[in-house]
Amino acid sequence: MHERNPLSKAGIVAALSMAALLGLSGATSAQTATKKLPPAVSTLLSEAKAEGYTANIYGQSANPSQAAEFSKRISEFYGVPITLTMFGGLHAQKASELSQVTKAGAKSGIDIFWTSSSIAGVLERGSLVVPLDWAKAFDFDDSARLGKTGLHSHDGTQATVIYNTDLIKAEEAPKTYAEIVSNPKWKGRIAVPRAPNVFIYISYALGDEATRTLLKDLMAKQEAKILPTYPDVRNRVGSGEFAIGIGVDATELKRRGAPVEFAPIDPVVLAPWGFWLMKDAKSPATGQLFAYWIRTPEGQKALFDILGLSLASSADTDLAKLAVGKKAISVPHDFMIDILPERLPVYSGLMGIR
Amino acid sequence: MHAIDLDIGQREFFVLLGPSGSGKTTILRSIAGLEHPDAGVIRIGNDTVFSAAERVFVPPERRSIAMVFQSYAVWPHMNVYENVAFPLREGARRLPADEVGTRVNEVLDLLALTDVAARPVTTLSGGQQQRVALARALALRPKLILMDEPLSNLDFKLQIRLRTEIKDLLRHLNLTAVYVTHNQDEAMEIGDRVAVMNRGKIIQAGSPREIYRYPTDEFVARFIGEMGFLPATVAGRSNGFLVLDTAAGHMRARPAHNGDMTPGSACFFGVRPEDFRLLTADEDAETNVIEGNIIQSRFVGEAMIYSVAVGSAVLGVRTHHSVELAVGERVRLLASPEYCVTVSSTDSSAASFAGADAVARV
Amino acid sequence: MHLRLSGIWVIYVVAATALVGVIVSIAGNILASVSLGADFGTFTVLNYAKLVADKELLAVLGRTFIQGAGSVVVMLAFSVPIAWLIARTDLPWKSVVLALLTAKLAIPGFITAMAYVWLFNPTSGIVNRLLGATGFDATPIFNIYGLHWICMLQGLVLVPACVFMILPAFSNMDATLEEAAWVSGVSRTRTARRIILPLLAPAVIAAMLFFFGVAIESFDFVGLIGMPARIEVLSLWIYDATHSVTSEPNYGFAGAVGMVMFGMSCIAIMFYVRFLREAQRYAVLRGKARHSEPMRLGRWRWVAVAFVGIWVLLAFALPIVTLIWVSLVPFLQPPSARAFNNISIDSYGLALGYLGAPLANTLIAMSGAVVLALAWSATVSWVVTRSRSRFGRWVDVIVFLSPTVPSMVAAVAFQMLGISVQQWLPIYGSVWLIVIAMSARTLAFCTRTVNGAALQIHHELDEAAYASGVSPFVAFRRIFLPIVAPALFYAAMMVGMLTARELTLPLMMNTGHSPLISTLIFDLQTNGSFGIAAAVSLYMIFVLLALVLVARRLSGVGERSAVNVRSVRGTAFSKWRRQLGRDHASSQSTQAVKEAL
Repeated sequence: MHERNPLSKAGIVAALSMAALLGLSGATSAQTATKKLPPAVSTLLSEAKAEGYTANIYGQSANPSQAAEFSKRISEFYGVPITLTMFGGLHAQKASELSQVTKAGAKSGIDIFWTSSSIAGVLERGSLVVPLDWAKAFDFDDSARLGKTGLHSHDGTQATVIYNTDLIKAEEAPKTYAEIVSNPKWKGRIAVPRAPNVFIYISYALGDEATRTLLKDLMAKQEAKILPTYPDVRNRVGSGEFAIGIGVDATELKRRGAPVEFAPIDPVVLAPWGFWLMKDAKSPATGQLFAYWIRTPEGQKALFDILGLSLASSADTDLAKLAVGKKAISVPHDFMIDILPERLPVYSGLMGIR
Repeated sequence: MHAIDLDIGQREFFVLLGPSGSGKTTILRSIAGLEHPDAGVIRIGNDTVFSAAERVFVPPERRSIAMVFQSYAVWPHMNVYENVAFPLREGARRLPADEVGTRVNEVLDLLALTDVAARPVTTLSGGQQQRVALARALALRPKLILMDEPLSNLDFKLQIRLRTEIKDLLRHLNLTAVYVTHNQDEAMEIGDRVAVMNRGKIIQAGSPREIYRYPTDEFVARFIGEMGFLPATVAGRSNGFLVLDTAAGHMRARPAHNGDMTPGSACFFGVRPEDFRLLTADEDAETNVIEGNIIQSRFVGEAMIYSVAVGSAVLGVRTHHSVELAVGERVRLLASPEYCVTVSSTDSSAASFAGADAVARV
Repeated sequence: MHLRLSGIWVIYVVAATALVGVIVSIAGNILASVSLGADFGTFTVLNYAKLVADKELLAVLGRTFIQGAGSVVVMLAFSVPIAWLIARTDLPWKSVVLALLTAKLAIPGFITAMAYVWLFNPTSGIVNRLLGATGFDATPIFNIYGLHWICMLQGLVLVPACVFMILPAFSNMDATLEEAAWVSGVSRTRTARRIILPLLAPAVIAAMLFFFGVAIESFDFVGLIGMPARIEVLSLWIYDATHSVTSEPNYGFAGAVGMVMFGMSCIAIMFYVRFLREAQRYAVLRGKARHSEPMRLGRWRWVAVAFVGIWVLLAFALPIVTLIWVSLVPFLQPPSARAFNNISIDSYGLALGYLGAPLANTLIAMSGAVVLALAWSATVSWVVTRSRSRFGRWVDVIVFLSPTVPSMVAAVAFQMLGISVQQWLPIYGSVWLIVIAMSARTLAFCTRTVNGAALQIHHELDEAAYASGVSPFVAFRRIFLPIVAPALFYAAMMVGMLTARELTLPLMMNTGHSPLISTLIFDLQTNGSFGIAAAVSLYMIFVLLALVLVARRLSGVGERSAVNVRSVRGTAFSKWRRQLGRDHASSQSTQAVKEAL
């Protein structure tokens, strides 16, 4: 069995203040390129030049203006013109496809694979990624590691809950997972993506038994509806068709003025995402520069501004605000690798997914 | 189409004859009710089925007619029996259920189709399909039966055989028929009366013999049988005949039915090839003797066809196959005025008839 | 008949490559079904065992059958009357109707699905709201989460394709067959019932069977309506297996389910071929058929227009209006005072900026798919209709199987193909692999359309050519092609539309290097940029419509001549005669041809 490694409240506050300080200092020196970069990064900069300062990042869909904005900000940070191509898709399918691709001797066309733990497991098993110790290479602390080969980029919201503020008043919003299934008013108005791993993440915090009960009640008692994708859940809570959505965030929608908000669920279960460097990357150096940059306050700000994603420890982000006053539980990489295969079929069965 | 007037008698086998595009099918379809004329009246028996003035239009399904189509139009998803029985079961002129069988079998027997009654029509030959179409029409015992080139899709020998069968059959059944064809042999052989059409007009209507002997128009003369022409001018009259001045001298011919017969007006003098008699050296006649040179001779089995040059014109002459004349020989031809016609056509195409085309047709 | 082979081998080779495309999808499906998980090449029967042992299998099969049958019923309920109205009556504004039918093809399925969910979902559906039936306690009047809704919507969406498929049969029916009934005293309605409908039945039944296979395979509505309501059908099982979010995709199981679908479609196709043959027996091959005068609708014309209008409203107007609404609001929301306050046209400007590469790629993909589909269908049609050997029949059957492999499985098959030939032919990841995959899928529809026209060409036209010394290849180019040109044109339009809006295939085959408009829309949606996604969709529909209209104007093909082969045949034939020189009297072959005509 695995222990839980919750970040303690004190730890959160410390991280927040450090982040705030870094953020401030970062903001003041944002214009100049005179940064104190670790020697590894400087080496990478010269290698990146030979690569042409371009990188292909797979894992998050970014429309052209978003990608352009990323490119602009990273170029400002490093003082050199870097172009990023970012595209997303079905991670599981992509990972499995890449195994076939490399077996056949073809190139993956990807430099950095940006994903969550379970998919990363597939990549590792298929020997598709470089066993890079990011923390050591870039002088990060241990929390930057995701597994043995990944770099923790942000905390995914695959276990958070949102609600529609037109339909549910703030004081009525659920404060625990159990409350979601205990209020009969919400029967038939809860949406869940077709992804059992939402509950696997939750089960790290609540335990297997409790999560199974939660799932059973969700499906049977509350008649939750399973929607094809995460964006579907987000959008249909925003449009008012559903009152509650599990496994998604409210950030993007809020920015557009939609009446959604994070439900103040305690604990805040975080699903870490990370960067993995592909073995056949054409631009490994530029890729690593991108990964490093995201970990910096400037990068985190860019990530939050553009895609609404962030580490829970980054200041002024929704997740940071959400975590205030609650237990924040980050689900460890190894848990997803080892426990997921056990729980996946059970939870899929409970959700009615094959 | 131009304005036409037709009067078809009861039990008459009336033929509409003409080349494609002449409008004969349009008339037939108008009688059937498949076309809407712009003006006029159509009456079948005592029923007015169409009147532009009174805004009467009886749709085809309420006219007491039957029609046989060129493409047979037998219904491919039914067998022979069903094709014939269908209108009797479900049409306006339906019969009580128990009588349908009798009528159908009667008509199938008449057309020798009893053996194939159960076969799908798509498995039958063209001739058989045509007979099915005919059976279907006859089973209705219509007042009027319309036939649109029913035999033109069949092969030659079959055409000849079937046309007489149809005529006999219809006469036996005392039916009135309107028959459309472009085949003049057919029209001549089976029609009681024939209307020759061209370009939307009826040029001449009459019995086959009338049309053949007394064509009123060079088109009719050319379309039916053969005729050779000499350009002529009217010189006068004599004994009921016209005297025409031609390159071969003065000829007597029957007057034309229309056109200008005043002396001096231009016209054409026409004789059919079979109406010429070759004169021997010592024979002579009062009038209508034409001299010319043989420029071509053809043996066609039952006859000899000679092309004789008369001045700048060429006349065709048809003789018994035993007559053997050489090219270049000079001959004298006699054309009895009874069989000579005057064609007063303002149509310049008549001029071309006087020329080389006389040679082309067999 | 002894054929001179010069040049004709080109046609056979091209036709053979078409077969390869189809065989790849079928072989891929079979291979996947005996593979373990995502590992192609391992041999196992576990997938089938799991499938057969599943307790839900019978229920799912039953529901899938209902999905197919229900969709087809709705489709026919609209298509048959609409095809009738276009082909045989004096319906007003026919060209508008045809344009709308074509335009519908340009609207991706998931957009229609989304629009309907909005209007009729039980919790926030606009229609339910208008009727005061939403809110936590109310019982909704309309609940879109039902199998019957899936059937209805799928049926609506299939109408254009069906109309285009059966229209030639309706237009080319020999008018004398009904005239013969009229002059025999049979009333018009009875004639319609007992003569015309039975004769059209084989063509309609053939279409019904064809689209049954299409209906059970499509996922747009199953995903958005079936999944939330847990209405399980086979395509949902395939989606589940291929779109695993957490672990490896289970292509093995998807392949096994795909084989079941393939089996169901094969049975449908077998009957389809039988009915097709019967339809051909009824077709007039000798060229003397008349075309009937359009039936005058009189007072009924407004009823007819209203009927067509209902389809236009349901299938076309609603999704378009939804798209326009979505493009104007900052986030997905039903119309309300707040919403109206926030309307802006920003999305349209932003969308223009995103169109560049995807639009170029889509146009390339469309042209590629059109060229490929045309080359394939022209050559395959020629081989099938001209070759009297059994080979021709087999080719025909194989081609018909092309849409029976579910698109998700076919995507995987082509992806694997691309990967395995990577070293010799680097098409993996490029738009060309997607083009090949999509052309292979639309092949059946194209050949079906072109075959119909090709069969109308009497064999003697070819024989006359050969006897006059024209090689088969030249006969193909100068006689066959011009005559089937209208059918090819229609097929080309269909392929273009279907390629532009296809999402499932490119999404699964996308490696990021060749974005298409459909994947762009999907990506925009995923990121929540709905307004821009909607604007892009509208641009796409507009461009496609413009292309169609221009193409029709340029080729001078009106709706009549597009489905009426005979008029084109006349010109093609006389052109050929002029080219070869006339020689009536002595040429036996021209005599035979004349008699054939």
